Amino acid sequence: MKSKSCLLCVFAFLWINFQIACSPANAPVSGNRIQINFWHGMGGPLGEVLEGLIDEYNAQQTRYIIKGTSMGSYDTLQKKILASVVAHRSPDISQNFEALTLKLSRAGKLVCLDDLIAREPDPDTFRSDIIPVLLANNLFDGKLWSFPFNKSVPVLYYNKDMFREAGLDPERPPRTIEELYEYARKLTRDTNGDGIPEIWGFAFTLRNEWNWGCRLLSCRGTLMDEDIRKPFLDSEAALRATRSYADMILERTGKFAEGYDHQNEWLGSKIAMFESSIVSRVYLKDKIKFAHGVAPISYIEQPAVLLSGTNINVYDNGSPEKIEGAWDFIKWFTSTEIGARWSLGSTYLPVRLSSLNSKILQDAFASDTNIAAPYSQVDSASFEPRIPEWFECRIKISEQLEQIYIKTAGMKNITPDSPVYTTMIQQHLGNMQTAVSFILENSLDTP
Amino acid sequence: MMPRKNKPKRPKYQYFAFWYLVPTLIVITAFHVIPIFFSLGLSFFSWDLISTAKFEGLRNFRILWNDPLYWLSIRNTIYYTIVAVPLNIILALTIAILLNQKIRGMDAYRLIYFIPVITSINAVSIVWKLIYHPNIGLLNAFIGLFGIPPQRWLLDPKWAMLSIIVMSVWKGLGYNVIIFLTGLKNIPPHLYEAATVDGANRMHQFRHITLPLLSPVTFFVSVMSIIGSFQVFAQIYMMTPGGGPMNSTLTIVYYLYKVGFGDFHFGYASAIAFELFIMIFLLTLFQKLVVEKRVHYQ
Repeated sequence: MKSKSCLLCVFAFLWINFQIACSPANAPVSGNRIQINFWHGMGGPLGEVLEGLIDEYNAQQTRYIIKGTSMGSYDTLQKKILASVVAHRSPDISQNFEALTLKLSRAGKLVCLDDLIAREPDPDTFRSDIIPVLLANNLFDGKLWSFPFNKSVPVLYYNKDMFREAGLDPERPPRTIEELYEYARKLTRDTNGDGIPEIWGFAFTLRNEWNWGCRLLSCRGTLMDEDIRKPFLDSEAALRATRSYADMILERTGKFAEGYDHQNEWLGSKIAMFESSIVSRVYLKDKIKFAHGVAPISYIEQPAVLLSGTNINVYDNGSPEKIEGAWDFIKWFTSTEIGARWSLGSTYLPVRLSSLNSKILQDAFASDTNIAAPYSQVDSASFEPRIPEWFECRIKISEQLEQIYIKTAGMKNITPDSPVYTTMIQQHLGNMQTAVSFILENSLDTP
Repeated sequence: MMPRKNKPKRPKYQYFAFWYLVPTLIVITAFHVIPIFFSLGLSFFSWDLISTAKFEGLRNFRILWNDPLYWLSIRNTIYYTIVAVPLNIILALTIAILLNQKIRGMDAYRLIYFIPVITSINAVSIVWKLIYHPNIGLLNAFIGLFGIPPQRWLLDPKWAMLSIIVMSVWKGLGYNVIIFLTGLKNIPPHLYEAATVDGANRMHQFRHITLPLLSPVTFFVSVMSIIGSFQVFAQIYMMTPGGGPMNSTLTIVYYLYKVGFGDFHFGYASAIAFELFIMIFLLTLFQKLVVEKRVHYQ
């Protein structure tokens, strides 16, 4: 009898697990409202802004209910999405980078948004109101497979108090690379004369391929050819872009930092200026204890920035109602007023030109001069190559830049015009070119 | 007619016991056996999870053999193993001998050494990352007391792997201490008494009694530590994301993870996993066939 009970328990255990495993991940209908599952990578204050808007959407209509699920980071989000697609349990909408959008669209997992826009009362007006660079960023083979959602640009953060102390005009941040050098020299302090400054003029993150890419474009260079099959990473423009950071390391007026350490040092007034995404402002603003400024990044020949961040995908889960709901939410979220509020709360660029020109944003620009910096760079914005291999290429670029910066930091009694220094950089750029070419020629991706 | 041979009747519980094993067998089969064979098969394909897998034959292995990062990851892993494993064993044995004394509060000492083992590797990594911080880290503050300039421990290719090793040894020490302690307790005290009577000093006793009789334990500890070292991952992921400065902490498992879950080349990652399996298997076989001959089983 006892044995039978035990056997029964074993079967019950297995049966319960089987049931759990087979149960749907999310109930499709919540009450009499259709539930739309939205996976995102937003955490912290950005997550709060997003969830606040989701709550607002859920409260202002009764047909759909958006269930936002934060995966904590883009990295985790990407892994969860891939796993969910394999398991045929993908969300209804999610944030995604272009590389994954491309893969998912080719695999037939996404809804083409052109079809949804075509059903709008005035599709042309709807489409023409999208900021052109953001629209172009979401077109794959001429079709709109994703919708702009949270794109940011890099900016220069600076300490106005330190500017004043160094005799610099705090309302006139550096614009060109020469000005950045000059300002950094004036702001750097080596009080004990040991050759290691206590106060650094400028800092950047060690793996700074994003900012480096912006500098490369700013001296009229390009990352790859139009077909995105041939890189140009050992070009003269690439050398100038690299030197624009490495020269400052060599001169001991600028330094690199791991992760976000430079931001903490800036908060502690150990660094006068640093480059980072405008989104960092959301995390920094409550901790800044001094007068600060936010300005467009410095350029070499012409202003240029690369967009960073994700777009939003609608998944084809076989339910027209859910697709309708997902689209309704995206339209609402990126509408003129909500888009402007999202932009103001998160610092991401708005999707629509009408948001950019809205009273909400214009009033904000007037009340705080630091808010305008990212928006003023929209006209000079472009985006990184959109190929599945791009993230691998980025890592190769970042690895070589890292080696250049670390080696430069270890150089002593070397001037920026020294052949040893230039040759070292050229060698690494050559390695970068070879490594990225190898990835493009030997793609491990399934064709 | 041949007399019928009376076969001993098997007790019923033997069959029934199988059902108790079913849940565990299902879990092991689902999460270990099937993935191992699936991964082996996958190493001959290219697959990004979404698209249909494409058979590539030995292409992944060919690329692997020409991949400088793969060889760098092997070099880093061997470096980690060569430094971390002996250091761990020597320290663990020393501490176990010290803890094998009859002094007051011994249980508290044992607990202290074991706490890092049961603490989450993620939490430990974050704490050690702060200790190694170039500006606000305890370690730089400590060496500063002796006039040594601050170091960029996790940012300097020269120090990054050593920093990881020190943390890993500290984290895993307690486990080996407990194993060695158990081994020490199993050495019959009369052997030491006899050696003392024969005039052997402490060093002689350690060399001729403790070490030989501990050799099965040392063998077990070294095999497990080497396997563990070849699979080092979490502390690298947490403390030097990306594989450290100039890939100085890029180990095989971390590289496998990067390729698989970063770039979504699951076929290539499976090929790395298969090579890692072969490496660990051959190393363990070597230990079993060669090193174990020097082990003294009582």
